[in-house]
Amino acid sequence: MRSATRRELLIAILGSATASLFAGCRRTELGPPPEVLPAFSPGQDLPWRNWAGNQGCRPSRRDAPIDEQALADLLGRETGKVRPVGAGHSFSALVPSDDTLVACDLMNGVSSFDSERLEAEVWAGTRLHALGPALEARGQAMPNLPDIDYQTLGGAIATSTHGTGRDFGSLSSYVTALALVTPSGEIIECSRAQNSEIFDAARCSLGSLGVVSRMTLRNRTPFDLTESVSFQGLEEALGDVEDRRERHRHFELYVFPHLDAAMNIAIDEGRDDGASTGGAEFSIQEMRDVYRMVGGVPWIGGRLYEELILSAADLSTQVRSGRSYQILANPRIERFREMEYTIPADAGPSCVREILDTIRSQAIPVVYPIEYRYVRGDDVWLSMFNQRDGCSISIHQFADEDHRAYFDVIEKIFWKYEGRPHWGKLHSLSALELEALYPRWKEFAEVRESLDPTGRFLNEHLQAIFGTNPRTVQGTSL
Amino acid sequence: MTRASVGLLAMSVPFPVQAQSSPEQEWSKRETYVLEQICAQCHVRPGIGVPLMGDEAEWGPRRAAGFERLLTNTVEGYLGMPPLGTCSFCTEEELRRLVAILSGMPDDEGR
Repeated sequence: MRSATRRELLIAILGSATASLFAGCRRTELGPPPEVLPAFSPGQDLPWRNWAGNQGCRPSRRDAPIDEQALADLLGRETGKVRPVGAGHSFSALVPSDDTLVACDLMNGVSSFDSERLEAEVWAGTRLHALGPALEARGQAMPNLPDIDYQTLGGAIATSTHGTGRDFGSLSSYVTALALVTPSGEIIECSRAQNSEIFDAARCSLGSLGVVSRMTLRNRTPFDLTESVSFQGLEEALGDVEDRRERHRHFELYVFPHLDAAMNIAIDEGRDDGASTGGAEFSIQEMRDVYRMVGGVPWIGGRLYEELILSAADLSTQVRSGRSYQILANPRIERFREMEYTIPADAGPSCVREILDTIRSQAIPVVYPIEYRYVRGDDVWLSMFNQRDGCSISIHQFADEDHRAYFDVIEKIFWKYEGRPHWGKLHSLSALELEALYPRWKEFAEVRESLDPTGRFLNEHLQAIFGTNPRTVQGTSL
Repeated sequence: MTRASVGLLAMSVPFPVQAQSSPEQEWSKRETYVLEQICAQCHVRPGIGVPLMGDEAEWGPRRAAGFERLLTNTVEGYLGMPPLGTCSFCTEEELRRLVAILSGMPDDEGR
């Protein structure tokens, strides 16, 4: 936006001009029905809730072992259900269990490193935001990162969490070795050369094989990046998207429902010392306010929304430079709900066009931008990128609004493109559909059953995912 | 320790951390880790719209709601504040101490 004064004035004028049209349209009425999540009561067992606030449970035990042996002893001792938990950033129901939650947070940091091979072994509880400086102090850097870095490394690997970039796979694809503490308390060392089938399964396991306690990452030397954020008309941006994918080290696109605009984020190696340090300011809340005020006006609401946003927005290119881990990840304070599917890379433009057409034709009231990224294929059995380069498309809704009808409509589009859901984000697929999407599904199931024959690490959500429970359970994941 | 390392953290922000920590209170390794590696990720990071440790203008109105309300919001999540501050293993006692030091407000329970 050009200036706060102009923006505030715009909002104020719109508010007074349109308030009477939407006098009954308050946030509480737009919101989803209250979700049944356990509440906090002082002195009682603490409830657990995820970051987005759409999953919860009241575990009877929450443990944070201080080292690997303590973790092994704990798992060997426990007889009930156990679920590993990281930062709770998954939107899907991977964590909830009323038995035991195990956090690896106290097992954190770099345990060893090899300067010649540019590899580092890292404890699973390490938060991604702490890993950048820790690796730099040892002359290393992760080649890529997701755009949020609150997660633990263990949680990120368990869900094949990824960033963007044609030449870069998910974080799971950079793991060259790992230690798995099995449900029976055994510590198994895995790599391509040692226990290779468990290695292929455990690099993305949804926390269903036990607890990955540490892993070795293939890194590179520390480096700088420069990010450039620019805006284009929607069709122009979609026409350029594959060219930008080829030209930039990292490229992602944000497209805006109900707006003829797209935001390109291109990141390349090197430093621009003349660059602004501020970066792009993205005011999703202001877009939401404007849409609420004018979006529903009969006949002209959509056009009015577009004109107001685009006339007030600062569409100039913004540039910032810094160390790789400072540029790739960004803070996210606004809580939201998210669905993401990965489709074959070349189908990206067609799929996102169909999503935008559907939003417009069905007048779905959403302002949250759609995120569009590219990720390289890998050989991790349950990675969304297994054996194919992917285009990951994410849709979002504010945490205090009902996302379900929107997500339900768009999810069916993803299915048409052979989409694979992000394990940590919302979806409604279960074993029957998932098995058809993953060439190594059967092999994974065999490894899982061998390590956890009684399903101690499966909660209801995972029972539906792996087909050990009736499909009726899957509806709870949305 | 660890009042010492909490004090070091506090030196980076304008907040009288020592004043919130009575002499008999020792910060555990867990609490220190949570404060430095989890809470600080947002609450000592300027410019992202989060109340910073020691910012009286931001914390004053929040304290008016009472300690128990701040604690409940911390556990259950509230607006941009994620449930449990993303600390999945923190106990109620630990969260009480962390809320007290971040908000500059003594625990109602005197802890």
